[in-house]
Amino acid sequence: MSFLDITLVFSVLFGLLILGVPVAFSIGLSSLLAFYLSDAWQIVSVITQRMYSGALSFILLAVPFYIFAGFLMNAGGMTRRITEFAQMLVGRFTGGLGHVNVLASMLFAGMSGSSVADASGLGSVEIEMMTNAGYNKRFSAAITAASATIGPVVPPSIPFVIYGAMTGVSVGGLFLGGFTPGVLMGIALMVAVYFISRKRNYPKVVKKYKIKEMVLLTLNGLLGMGSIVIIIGGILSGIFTPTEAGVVACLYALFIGFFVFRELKIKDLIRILWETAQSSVRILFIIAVASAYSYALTLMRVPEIISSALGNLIYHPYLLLFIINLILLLLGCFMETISIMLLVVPILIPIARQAGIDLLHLGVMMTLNLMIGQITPPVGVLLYSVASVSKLSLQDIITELWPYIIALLCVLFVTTYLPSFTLWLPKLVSP
Amino acid sequence: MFQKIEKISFNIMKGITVFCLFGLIVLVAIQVFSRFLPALLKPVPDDILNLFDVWMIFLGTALLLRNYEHIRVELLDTMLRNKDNIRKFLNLTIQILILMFLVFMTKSGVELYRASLTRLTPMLLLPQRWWYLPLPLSSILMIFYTIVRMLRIIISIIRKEEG
Repeated sequence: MSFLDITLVFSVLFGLLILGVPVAFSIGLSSLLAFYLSDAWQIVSVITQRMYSGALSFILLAVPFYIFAGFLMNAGGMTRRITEFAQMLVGRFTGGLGHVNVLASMLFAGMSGSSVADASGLGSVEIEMMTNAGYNKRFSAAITAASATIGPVVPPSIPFVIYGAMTGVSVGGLFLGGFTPGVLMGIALMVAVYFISRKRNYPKVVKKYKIKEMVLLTLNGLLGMGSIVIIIGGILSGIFTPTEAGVVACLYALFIGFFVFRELKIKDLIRILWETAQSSVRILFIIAVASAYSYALTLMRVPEIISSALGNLIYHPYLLLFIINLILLLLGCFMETISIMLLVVPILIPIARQAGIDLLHLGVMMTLNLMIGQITPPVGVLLYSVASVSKLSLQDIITELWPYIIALLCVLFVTTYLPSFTLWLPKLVSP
Repeated sequence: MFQKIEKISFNIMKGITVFCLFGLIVLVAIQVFSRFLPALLKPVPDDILNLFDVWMIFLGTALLLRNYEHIRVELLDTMLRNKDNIRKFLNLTIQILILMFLVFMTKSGVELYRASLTRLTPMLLLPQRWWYLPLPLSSILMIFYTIVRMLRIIISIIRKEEG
């Protein structure tokens, strides 16, 4: 297959995506073209066979389970309690509720692997609370969108599960690897909030807590963090696989919602199950089709051709990482995380291997990068979620977002060029 | 009448999708607990998990297409917000492209289903056709939903021109 044919396949793929054809169908149609141009039309039914086998991955069952756990936590009253706990911890600093917003997202990240669940669940509570306290609504919406990006970097994380399933990298290792960059994202956003709030004179939360109240709020917060302990602890101790940990997190969320907070109702369950099925299938069908696309790439010898085209670049991993970041940031402006991951991972992995880049490090860096893409215009999933929750226009939110995007880019820089920053924790736990 | 039948069939399929997801949660939970209570619970065979998984994904995919909720880049939609006619023609083109893939998926899905008629699952030795049925079923459903959407777009274009 010639370089021209490969260019044609990719041009068609991106053309279809820009045209607005759903991602799964764009990938499917360009895979069909790849088979045709590779003179492999007689085996084209492999595409459907691959879609079928791609859908049947035990590890990918974790996707609906983590989504379900997040939805249950939202419906079960955890969202409000986490916000109250965060308020007790960081509300007293300048720009208090901005910090609360970030910390609550960090805590919520430990329960749900989805940033959209964070933005739409926590977002509605946080934006209302901040606006009522005298914060600019655009500021509140912007920090809500920015802090939601932490969700999939702090474990559990749906992008990590997908990356692990595609590359064979340990999902438990990825979960641990994302921990430090996730915390740094939170700190970077809090620093940005502090400077903006000081300039605009945003208030602190001046609330005195009684000891009893503090104990109760702390207990509620710890209950929220219980799921991350179950997931990480269970995976690392070898009791569960990441998929099974997802189910245990669901059972935990059900227990908390029904018996501890008593805010979850049986009638809510059907609605939550349907919402979970919709959110999961949206991702899983793309994964199924992307499995056929990976086969088409191999058929076209794309990884080999790109490796040889990049030539000496594989001897300069830092430059390669810079270029990968640049491409991902650019793609992130137009597409959503999972789709980009499914499209680029099969191409990048062989090159990264040749360049000696640690695949766990690459996975964490890539996820962080793609999370920034979720808040960059014109196509940012989180921008749309927060705009819908706050009833603001995209333009209003974007104008306030830039300081946070810069803060997150700084974290991306550190994560990219200090691999030990990501790798120290996974190496500490399983050397 | 047509709308009523369509709504009932949608609710039935929605019920099956939700049931499959719920089933997966219960079955994987049994799998976990069977390790701690081996005398009480038996591990769930992969065949059963696969059955629930494949039905949830492919049936759910069809239902998503009914409501046109698949992930897509909406850049052109936003840019063409005030150009209703161009947007309709663009939408029609997208539906034709989707239909092209669905026709292929149906053809090869039927082939896979027919090939599975004589095969048994590896662990439970049950007929594999139940595992492959969602492929042609969901693609036929998706063709139906896409054609309905295309007709709606065409009708709205004609009505506007007449008006």
